[in-house]
Formats: sequence, structure tokens, C-alpha cells
Amino acid sequence: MHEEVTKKHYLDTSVVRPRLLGLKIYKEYLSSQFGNNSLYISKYIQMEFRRSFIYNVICFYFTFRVPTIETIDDALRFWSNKYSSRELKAIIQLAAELFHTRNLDFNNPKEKPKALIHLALLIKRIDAKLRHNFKDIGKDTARCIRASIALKVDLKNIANDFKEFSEAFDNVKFCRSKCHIDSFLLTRYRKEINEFIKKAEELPFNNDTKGFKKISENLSKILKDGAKKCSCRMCGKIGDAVIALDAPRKMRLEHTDKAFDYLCPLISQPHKKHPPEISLISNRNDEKTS
Amino acid sequence: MSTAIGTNCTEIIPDEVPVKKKESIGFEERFGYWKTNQEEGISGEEEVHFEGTITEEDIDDSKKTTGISNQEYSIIDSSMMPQSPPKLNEADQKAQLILRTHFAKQILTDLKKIQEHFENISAAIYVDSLLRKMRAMEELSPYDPYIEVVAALHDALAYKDNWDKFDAEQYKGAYQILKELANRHRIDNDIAEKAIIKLENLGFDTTPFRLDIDSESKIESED
Repeated sequence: MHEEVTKKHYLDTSVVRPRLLGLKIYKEYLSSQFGNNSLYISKYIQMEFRRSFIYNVICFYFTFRVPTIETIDDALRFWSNKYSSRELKAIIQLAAELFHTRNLDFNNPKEKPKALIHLALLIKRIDAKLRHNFKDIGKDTARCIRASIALKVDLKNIANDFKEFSEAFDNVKFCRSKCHIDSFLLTRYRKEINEFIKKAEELPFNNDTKGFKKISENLSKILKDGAKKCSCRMCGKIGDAVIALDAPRKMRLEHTDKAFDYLCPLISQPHKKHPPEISLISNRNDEKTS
Repeated sequence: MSTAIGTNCTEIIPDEVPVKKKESIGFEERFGYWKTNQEEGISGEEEVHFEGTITEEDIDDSKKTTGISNQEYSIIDSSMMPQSPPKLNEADQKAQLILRTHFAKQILTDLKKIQEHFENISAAIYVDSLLRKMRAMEELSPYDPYIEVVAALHDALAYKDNWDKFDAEQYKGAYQILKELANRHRIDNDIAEKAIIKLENLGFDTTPFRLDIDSESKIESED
């Protein structure tokens, strides 16, 4: 691989997330992979991170803020009973670690205001790191308007500012009316998308290919039904394809998702698949015990 | 880990060259600030010295002038915290600055002491004092933007007792960042944010908490 390519790293959301909120051992692994080279993300990656994490934690903030939820324990129990998806459950661990670090009493209603402020500060801090720790690739072909919705929070106005962000983020009709995802998929990268679909049809369905095949199925629906099929929700389902297609070819796309193993070679996009956090840690543990 | 034991931090800390910041308006102001991470450090606000400006002398003497003991910090009732954010009038702003100066002096003193006692068992005396004062400040002045940076450093130090893993140079850097910030009359979001990024650049992980999501799962939410 050309040296210039390996010096510029374009991070997929699957790498951005553990880079910001992973185990120390995994953060160290990523640092060892990238050295002092510049790390890049796109506006679209920012949006994906906000949609998949920041937005959810803000929803947890408001759940906790509900007057009938009196304690930290109430909030964690409510969230745990209500939501089953891994990404929503993960917030429980994150919040619990934050509140434990602060030695907050999980059963004391008087701790609620403090806990809410610390949660808000953490959200702000993570968003700040998202904006400051990576460089922009300077390419935004899909023109995702949702990606332009910034989280601006004043400590004196936390709830209102979170609400304003969430409402803007939820306004998918407006966002979709302004973005160029339809021309991105139906015109600019139509040829490449047809190649994705063709390749997916040739592949057997298994654990390695299922992500790529799912994306290709959705891309096929978009090509069939046209612009009316393009929505923010659908865009979330084909996000890896959007990221791969818009990736600068002079940068190496860093990811943990298997779908990129099929997407990238078809468009000559340099890429590297990193082990997911859990497998890296279990491998290290195995090495220690053997 | 470096072993710069007892680093002397009484040297004069050079002031940053003030840079005037351009005000942005309109759509960009509301929604868009896409930063390319080109700019480094805290810039944008002129450093304004006010009557509460902290000098090296203040920091050394702050122990003597402290009106609240560590014991008293621990019994501050959290119900004292305002439930809804107050709109600050001039008097409130003055009070916030006085509180900031009061706590910042003590926090800075502890940070300095930690450098001096680095890798000694006595470092814990000042780490204990530091974390308690940070928490006391957070309780009494929760809406002061200075708190954002204090809380960020607190979490980096307190999470899994990581305070033990930083060296004297890093503590010195944190001291400089917090001191410079305390001497600003006005701290806005941008300034607080950049101070946090400076802490990060020194090696303080201000978001050490883990988000345990299987990285194979792409998230499909809402709509």
C-alpha cells in the first residue's frame, strides 16, 4: 500500500466510538495503529455518532429528568426495563460508571440534580472531543443537513439546549428535503452501487456477509423505488455504503465492520479492519492465560 | 511514566498572546460549527484581569485564607444546589467570580502540592483534598463554565483511581490550564471546550467511561 495512504486514517463510526469511549487497552491499541498520523472523519460520521450515541444519552438525560424518576437507581431501572437494544443498554453502564466515579448515592433523591449536571457535562465533553480530536476530510457529497446540527449547550440552559438539538435532529423531513442523498445514490454512485448489489447476490449468507448483503438489499430497494425511498432511516441502514463511497481514496478507511471488507475492494478504497474491542480483549486474556 | 519528582512549578507562567475572535451569526451560529481542528489552544478571548485575579502569591497563601475546611466541604447538602438554572444578574455574576476565585486558588494549590509530592505516599493527601474541593465547587457553583474544565479533570483523575497514573509534568500542565482559565473574566463554551482539549492533549482522558457496544452492530434508531 502506498505510504501516503497509510499515513492518513479515515475513521468509521465503529472506530470513532471506542476511540472516544473504549476500554483503555483498546484505546492504546488504536493509538499504536495510528501513531502520530492525522485522524480524519467526515460530517456524515459525526452525524452517525450523534445519532447512535449523543442523541440516545440525551434521551436518557430527559428520562432521568422526569419528575417521577426520583433517584439514579430509578432512572437506570426504568431504562433497563424499557429498552433492550445493546446500544441503549450500553448507556446504563456508561452512566453508572460516571455516577460511581462521582460517589453519588444511587438511592438518594437529593443526588439527582448533581447527577443530571454531570451527565450533561459528559455529553458536552464527548461532543467536544468528537469535533476537536479529528480533522475533516473536506468532502461531503451527500450534503447531510443533519450533520450540520451542532450541539451547543449552555450550563445555564441545559435542558432547553438539549431539547432544541433533539428537535432539530428529529426533524428528518426538513433534513431530508435539504440533503443530496438521492442524487448521491441514484446518479453519482449508481454504477458502484450496482456492483455492490451484483456482488452481494453472488455471496452466500453467513455471519461475515450478512451486513454487506443487508446493505445491498436496501440499496437495491432505493434503486428500484427512487428518491422516495431515500429517508434518514434508510440512510442509517446503508450508512457503511455512504461512508465507503464518500471516503477519500488517498486515505485508509479504518473500521471494525465486516461490511467494509466487501464494499471497499469493489471501489478500490484502501481500508483496514480492526478487531472489535471485545475480541481484542479476549485474545489478550487468552495470551495471558496460555 | 516520567519521574519528574518535585518539579518546581513556581516559575512564572507566560501569558498567552490574546487573539481577537470573530463573531459568527445566522445559520452557522445556530447549527454549524464544523471545526477542522486546525486551531490549537485557547484563543479568542482577551485575558482580562479583574479584582479576583489569582497570582502565584495567592495560591501559596490560599490555605491560610480558606474559610471552609475539608470537613465542612463534605457536609455540604446537595439540596443546596439550585434545581433550575438561575439567570445571573450583575451581583450573581460577581458572586460567581468570587466563588470561582476562592475555589480555584485552593484547587491550584493542591495541584501544585501534588507535583511536589509526586510518587510519594503523601501525594494522596493533596489528591484527596483536590477531589473534595472540586466536588465542593461543583456543588456550590454548578453553572460556572469553569466547572466544565474542573469536572473534566476530576473525571480523568478519579476514574478507577487514575490520579496515580499521571506524572508531575502532566499535573503541571493541568495547573497551568486551570490557572489561565481562572484569570479570565469571561469564560464561554468555546474557551472551556478548548481548555478540556488541552487537558486531553496532555494525556488526561476526560471521558474514561466505557460505552460497551458490539462494534459489529450499526445502529438504526428513531425516525
